[in-house]
This record gives sequence, structure tokens and C-alpha cells, in this order.
Amino acid sequence: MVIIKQFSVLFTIGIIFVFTNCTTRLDSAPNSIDHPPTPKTASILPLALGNYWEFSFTLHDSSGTPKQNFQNMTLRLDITHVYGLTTDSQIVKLNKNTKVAIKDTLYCLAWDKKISGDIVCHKGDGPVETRGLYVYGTFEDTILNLIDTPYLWLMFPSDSGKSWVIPNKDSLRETGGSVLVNSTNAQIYYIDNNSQYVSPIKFTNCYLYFYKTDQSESYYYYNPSIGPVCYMRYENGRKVKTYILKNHYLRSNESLHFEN
Amino acid sequence: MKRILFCMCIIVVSLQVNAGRYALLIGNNDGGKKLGKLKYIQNDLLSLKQILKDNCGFDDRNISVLYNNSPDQIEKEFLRISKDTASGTEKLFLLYYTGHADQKNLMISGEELPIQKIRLLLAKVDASIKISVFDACQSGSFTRTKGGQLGKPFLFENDNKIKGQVILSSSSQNESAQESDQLKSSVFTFHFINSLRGSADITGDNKVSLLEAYNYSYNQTVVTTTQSWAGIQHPSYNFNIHGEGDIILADLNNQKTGIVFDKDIKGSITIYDKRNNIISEFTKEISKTNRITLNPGSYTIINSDENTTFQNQISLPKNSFSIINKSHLRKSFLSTLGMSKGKFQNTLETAVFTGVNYNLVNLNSINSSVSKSFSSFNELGINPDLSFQTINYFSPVFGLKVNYNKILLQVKRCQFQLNNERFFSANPKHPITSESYNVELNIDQTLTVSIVDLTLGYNIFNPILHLHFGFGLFDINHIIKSKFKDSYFNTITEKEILNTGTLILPQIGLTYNNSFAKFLLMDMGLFYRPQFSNQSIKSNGNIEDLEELKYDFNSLEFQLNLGVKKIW
Repeated sequence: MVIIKQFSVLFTIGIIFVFTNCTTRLDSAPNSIDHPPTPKTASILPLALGNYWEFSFTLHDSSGTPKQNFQNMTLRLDITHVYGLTTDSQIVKLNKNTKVAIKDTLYCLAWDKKISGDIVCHKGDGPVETRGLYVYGTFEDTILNLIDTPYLWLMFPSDSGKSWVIPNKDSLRETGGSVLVNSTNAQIYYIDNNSQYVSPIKFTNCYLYFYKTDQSESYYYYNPSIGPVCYMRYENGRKVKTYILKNHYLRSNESLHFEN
Repeated sequence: MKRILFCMCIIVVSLQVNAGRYALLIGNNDGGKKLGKLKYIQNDLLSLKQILKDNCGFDDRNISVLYNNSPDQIEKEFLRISKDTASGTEKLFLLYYTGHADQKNLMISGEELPIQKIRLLLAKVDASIKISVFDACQSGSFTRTKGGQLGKPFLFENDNKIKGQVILSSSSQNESAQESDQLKSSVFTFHFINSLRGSADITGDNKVSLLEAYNYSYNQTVVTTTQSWAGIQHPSYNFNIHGEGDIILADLNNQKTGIVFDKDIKGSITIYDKRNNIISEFTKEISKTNRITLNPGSYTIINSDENTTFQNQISLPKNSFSIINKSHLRKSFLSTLGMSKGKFQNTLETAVFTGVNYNLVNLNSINSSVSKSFSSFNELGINPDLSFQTINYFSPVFGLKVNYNKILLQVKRCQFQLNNERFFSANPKHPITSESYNVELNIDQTLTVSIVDLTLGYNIFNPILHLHFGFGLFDINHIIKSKFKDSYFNTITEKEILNTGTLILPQIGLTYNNSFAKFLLMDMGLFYRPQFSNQSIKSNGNIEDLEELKYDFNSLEFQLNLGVKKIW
């Protein structure tokens, strides 16, 4: 009897041991992946310190006619600062006394080489519907004004027909609104004076975003290899502004600026 | 290339210049398949006929000229003359043949007419003096090679009655008889006719005897052919004459128009007509006058003496002899070397020329690739067609050539420029707002191509045809200016690109070359430039567009040039 009991205990222990190891082996079986990761996607706006885009822009009067002295003017958009590494967190200064740790790489966009502008960030991983260009706030010289909850500005990649909402309280826009992906293959031309094309203008296929607010309707053409190509703004059904790309410069995403 | 000329010069030798004289002048320029065609046969026949009438007392009715007739026709003419000469009076018969021959036969259009037969036909002609002259290769065999100069004692006898037969040939037994492009005649015939004008009158008695004429022709023929690639030509003779007396060939006293060269002139004298053909040339001794008979007209006289050249231009009226002495001649810039005669291919000749090219170029590949670069404008409703309007054009040519023997090296430059300006407009609808707006596109192209050709030519048909092989270096400048206007974005954008570079393409061609006067030339040419695939060019202003510009200069060119040359 004693021997049978001992054998039973040993047998039970052995069975348990075998099942445990099998379970372990099952859990760690090679090539067994439940959720393969989605490849990281690039930004709709090429982000690197030093990148810039020059536009020829025209303002129109109430009849849609170009305003005198506001025709074919040049406006430039620069990436003036970069904060953060791609794989690490860092401390950035919000104001003289406040610092915060962030894990994202932030890019500062400024118009007309001003020292103030918007802060954007590209999210290329995670669920596809969350990927795109986000607005993180504004900057004034080296002072960053980060909003509590960064919002999606331009979804990319996307399908035609996708839409999302822009919150009301936003330093970039007057009021909130909605963005719709009007097309992922809309053709538009731009001028590229640097390149040696035979043709005076270059046609390209772009994402066309339609941004609607209470006051206006705007169309944004973005090409992933180029960036912003064209912008058209309408108010009350009439054209008020047009931007068309006429020059741009892109460099590799390498130089970073660290804030102490 | 062996040129065989058969000249049959009939020399009428008689003290009685007005005795019955008959002449049969036979010429044939085609000796058959293996023999090249001769150029100046007809010219020689007509020139000889004229001098026989002018200076030698022949009546036009008694001179028969057969040009390119068959042996049967020649035989028939002999028989006809035999009948005409059967009257019993003293007569003189002159037989002249110029054309192809070998040692035993006359070669007439592929048929052979044996010399033996000619002798038999000649025997049937009833004339006290029969003179036969053959201007043909190896015709020395007809004279049984009695060559060299005539000895004086044989001729100067006192008896007026002369009977017998004379045979003169233009070359010795194994020699070629030659034509000269410079003289535009066969060499021997030219000098022989020249002698009868008075060039051979060394005694100054205004008569040209057989001795004078033959010696003169012999010497001049030897001198003229000394530099020839075909070798020196030595005329020969055979005399079977009975009787005594000077055998006078031409009596210049009966002529009324010509030039008398006075005693103070010496050296070589050449007389050109108004077409720059050599009419007469001879060497004049000092202290003697020379009378040369000529037709009325304009002539240029060149006198070379001890490396100094003098010249004059003269207009001879009818029935008048103009006397030329030293004071009438002025120094000429032409060197004596430049005036030497009878030179053939072993000369160095340089020339500069200018002319015009007519080009047929297919520019479809350029048109296609440029149009493709603007094809995106289809989106705006613009379909640009940027073809160059013409592909046939004229362009000026400048060049230099060096010719030595059969080789011709030629460098030439030509340039053409094409321009094409087009305007397009459309009124597309905005894809989003559907509002209509206006777009305009203006494209202005200029294509400038400079070509420098270097070709080596080989003479395939002396001296007029050359076959060329070589290369052309293309220097290409292609400017494309564009201007775009868009009323929606209110933009005006302009662009200018310059595509420059070079291409090297092969070239083959054929030219026809002709000289006139002493120093003028004219040539025509047909050239082809093959290009087996369209090529891009690399240079400043490289096009980075997706559609690279490619060029195709496959072309056919016709060229016409005039130039001046110098013979060294």
C-alpha cells in the first residue's frame, strides 16, 4: 500500500511536470505569433530639420478677383526645430520653470521664418486609424506650449472618405471642424524651380484633405514625398486664398536639437 | 587605268598646198567592256578637222569624220573615198585614228579592226602621198618602232615630186597613249594640232614642215608625260617616201588671224581661250618670231621665263595678226610651277571651298521626347504637339580639302538652326469646385547643330568621282523655353532649359569633282549619316525629367560647293 501511494504521488507529480512543460513549450513554440506588428508608416509631411516649402500665394477679394499687391507673393514654411529622439524620452522646457518628459519627436513649423509657430509630431505605428500628423501645440522661441491632448490633424495612411474631428480649442485654427479625406490620388501641379524638368510645372498625385469649419472650407493637397503642395481656402463659397508650391527643400531626418 | 587613245592624224605633206587633199578622221571612245571610255575623242576629231581646213589647205567637202562608227561603216567610207580619189590627179590622203588599240588591231566598240585590213583599204585609195597617224596605245607596233626624232638630211632634198607613205604613231610599241584633262585632249594630238598653228615653226618662215611638226610633237609629248602616272610616251614614225623637197604640213602665210610673238620674247608660252582651255603652248627662242594662227576671240597669254611669269589678255579681231612683244606683257602673280602642263595625279592639290547643304533629317525622336515631357498638360486640356515644322533645310558649308593622287582628305563645317514656337490654351474646369478657368502654355524651342565632318575619299573614277568615309562631330544646343499661366492660382511661371552636348556619327558619301580654269573647282556630293539608335547627350543642363531627350540625326545631304585650289 505504501509503495502504491508513493508511486501514485510520484506519477501525479510527473504528469503535472509533463503538462507544465508542455504548456510552457506550447507558449513558447517557435513562429507562433498571434498579432504580427503592422509596419511603421512614414509621415505625410516629410519631417527633418531644415526642410522648407515655398509657396506662391494669392489673396482674393470678395468677387474672387486677386487683390492688387497680393498676387503671386512668396510665403515660406520651415521646420525650425526638432525636439526628441525617436527611441528615447527627453525633458523639454515648457516655460522658464516648467519641464516635462516626452517620448515623442516634436517638429516646429514656422511661417515666414518667424520664431513662433506650431508643433507637430508624426505617429507611424499603432492602429492604422490613429496614424498621421498630430498637433502638439505652439512654440515661441524655445518655449513650448503643449496642449493636454494632441489631436490628429492629417490622417495618413488613409482611405478616401475617412473623416475625423478637430477640437474647438486649438491655437492653430479659429474654431474646430472636421477633416475628410477627399481623395488619396488627386492630381495637382506645382512649380519646382530647382529641378531640371523640361516642363515649367510638375504634376503629382496627392492626398486631398477637406477641412470644414463654421467659417471656411479649405482644401489641402499633400504628397508624402514632397509635403504640402497646394492649399485653397473658400469662405461663403468664394475663393479667398490660394497657395501653390513653387520651391522646396528636403533633407534626411538626422539633425536633432536637444533642450537642456 | 590605262587610257588608250587612238588618234589617227592624217598629215598632209605636200609642196603643193592646194593639191587634191582628202582626209578620213576616225575616232572611237569605246573599246569594249574591258577598256574605259575615252573623254576627248570627239573634241580631237573636230579640232583636227578645223586645223586642216584653216592651215593645211583641206576643203571641208573632202574631210570625212567618223565618230563611234562600226568597222563596216569605216570600210564603206574607205571604199567611197577610193572612188572619189580615182580621178588620176595628184592627191594626198590623210588617215587619222584616235581610240583604243592593241598591237594588231583597232578596238572599236568591242569589235576588232585589224591593222592589216586598214593597210589593204589604204592601198585602194589612189593618192600619191598617204599619211596615217594613229594616236593609240601600242601604236608603235604599226610603225614597226622607228621612233625618235627625224633626221634632217632625209627631208631636205630638191625634187618636188614626193610620193609614198608616212605612218606616225603617238606612242612606242609597249607604251600607253594618254589623254589629259588639263589639255582636254589626247596629249599627242594636242601637241600635233598645236604644231600646225605655228608653235613648231622654229625657222620662222611661217611654214611648218613635217620635221618641225613631228619633232615638236615628240618633244612636247615626252615632256608632258614625264610626270604622268601612266609613264612617258614616245611617239614613233615610219617613212616610205620617194622624192625630194621639204614636206610642208601647214602654211601660215595663208592665215589672216592670229598672234605674232616678237623676237624679244623667250621662254614657254601658253595661250588660253576665254574658257581657260589651253589652245597652244610652245617654247620660244629669243631673236626669232613665231606666228600662231587662231580664230578671232579673246585669249590669255602666259609667258614663263626663268621663274618669272608674264601675262596679257588680248582680243583678236578677224583678219588681223596682233604683234606681242615684251612690253605688252606684265608680271603675273602665278608661279611657273603653277603653269606647268600635263601633270596628272601625282600632284598635291589643296583647296578651300564654300557651298550649301540641303539636308533631309528625321527629327521625329526629338519631337516625340519633347512632346512627352509636356504630355502631363493633358490633364489641363492642353495637348502640345512640338514638332519642328520643317525637316528639310539649307545650311552653308565651309571646308578645306587636300588631294594627293587618289586620296582626298576633306574637312567641312556646316550648321543649321531650327526654331519652333507654339502656343496652347485651354479652359479646364476645377476638379473640386467645377469653376472654369483659363490656362496658357507657350513653348519656344531652338535647336542649333554645328557639324564638323572629316572624311577620307578615294578616287573611284579618275578624276571626278570620290567615295568618302568619315565621321561627323555634332555640337548640339537645344534650348526649350516655356511659359505657363494659370488663372485659378494666378500664377505665371517661366522656365528655360539648355541641353547641350556632342554626338559622333559616321558618314558615307559620293562626290563629283570638277575643275575649271586653273584654280577653280566645283563639286557636288551626296552624303548619308546613319544613326542606328536614338542617343541622348551629356552636358550642362542635363534633363532629369522622366523622359530624357533623345536625338536622331539620321540624314541625307546633298552638297554643292565652289572653291579655289592650288596645285603644288
